[in-house]
Amino acid sequence: MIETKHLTKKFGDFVAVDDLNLSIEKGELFSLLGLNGAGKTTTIKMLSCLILPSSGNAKILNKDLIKDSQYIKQRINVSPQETAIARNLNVQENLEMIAGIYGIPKKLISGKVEEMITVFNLSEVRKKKARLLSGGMQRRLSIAMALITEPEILFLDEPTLGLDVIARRELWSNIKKLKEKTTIILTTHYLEEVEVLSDRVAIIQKGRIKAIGTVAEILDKTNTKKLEDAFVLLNEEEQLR
Amino acid sequence: MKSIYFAKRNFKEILRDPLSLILGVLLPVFFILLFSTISKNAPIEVFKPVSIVPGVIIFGFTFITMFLGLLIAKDKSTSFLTRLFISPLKPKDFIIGYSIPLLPLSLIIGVVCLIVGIFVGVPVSMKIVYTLLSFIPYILFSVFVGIFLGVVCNEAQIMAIGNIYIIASALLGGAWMDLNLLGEKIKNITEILPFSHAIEFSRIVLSGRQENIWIHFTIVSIYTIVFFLLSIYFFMRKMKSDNK
Repeated sequence: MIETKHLTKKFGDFVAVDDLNLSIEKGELFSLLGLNGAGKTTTIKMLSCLILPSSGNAKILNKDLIKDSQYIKQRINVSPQETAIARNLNVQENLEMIAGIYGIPKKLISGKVEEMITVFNLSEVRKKKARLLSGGMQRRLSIAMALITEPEILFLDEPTLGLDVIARRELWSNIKKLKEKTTIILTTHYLEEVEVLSDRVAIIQKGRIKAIGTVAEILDKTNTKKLEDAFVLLNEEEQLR
Repeated sequence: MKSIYFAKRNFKEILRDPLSLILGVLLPVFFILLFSTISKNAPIEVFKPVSIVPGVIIFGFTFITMFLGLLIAKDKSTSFLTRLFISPLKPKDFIIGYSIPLLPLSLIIGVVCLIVGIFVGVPVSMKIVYTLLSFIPYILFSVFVGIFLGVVCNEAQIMAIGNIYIIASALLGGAWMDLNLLGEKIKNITEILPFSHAIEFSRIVLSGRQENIWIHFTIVSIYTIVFFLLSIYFFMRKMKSDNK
């Protein structure tokens, strides 16, 4: 489904993503875990055709990331790190707009909007302007806007950033429901989130993968009992270099 | 079709900002009523209905530029535009989506002001319809300047540049003053800018004066084409800059 080969992104002399090689299977929920500035968002931006790699390439849905970007764009969607909504449109209008932009036939749009409103518990606020929603509701809407297009691959960039505990748990519940229907690539720096949601995880530091596998495999590899310990250990190793 | 959904969103965003209604429609109407009242006490040529009404309408379109520039700048400052750049929308869809909503809005401004103009003394005739059509090149010019500013500037810069633009259009367009009073040097500057030509073009159409309108039409059209090309160039550059 996703296969990167030596994927690299440089901004001037700064290497944001360094020789990334990974393979993500259909239906997986794959997490990219790292500190701020580790290269998680840059990786997502490249894989979602927003920025071009400096070198290397990737196959998304068996298509070339650079040459076939229009094909890929039609079949993926992203919920960006900051909530990406049209603030003066209400919940329903936001969903209708994105469905239309992705070319969903008009007769199907209202059914899909209803489905998203039900799945994400947005029925009470469906006529409320997006700017008046709480942070948690806005984030749910942003993810619903990504899902209404039924993407084969969904990128969730720090989906729970800035949410309170209750809103975070609600969102986890929504994300769990999506697993297996959609391949999900999730970036986060919340360890608990990775443990609860991920099938596999890659720990990224300074643009490079330091460990990859299931949580159990990473614990085994680092000889630790908690993901937090494994994460700290890998970070300390990097700092000692 | 994709761009139509985007255009709908932009139309709603602009309409739901009450400032759009106040500045876009009510302010020109207020000016028409104000200057036509003055004209009753001081019979100055430029304040006559066939003169002041098109002048004020052209001035009103200046706000179209501001609305659009601010909308694009706001979209740029949030992740909303990032989301759209990841979507299958192409550069032409963005240009169409941002342009289309401003066209009916501009025509509404024109129609409302012309109707008010009838009440203050503009004769009812087909010339009113032709005058409405004569606004189209300047409406397009205003839209493309708005896209250009929105792409190139941030919100704060647009507020600053927008103020200069509004003042320039008000003072150098001659909507409510005789440009000859500004002196030869400033008059020469007004000759190379589109504002006074757009006003003069519509005034000739509305009054039915036997004058050459094509020089005015040509100058406004050249500005429109230049800003059309600039807006496309800078929008594509913006999409590519996010691609570096």
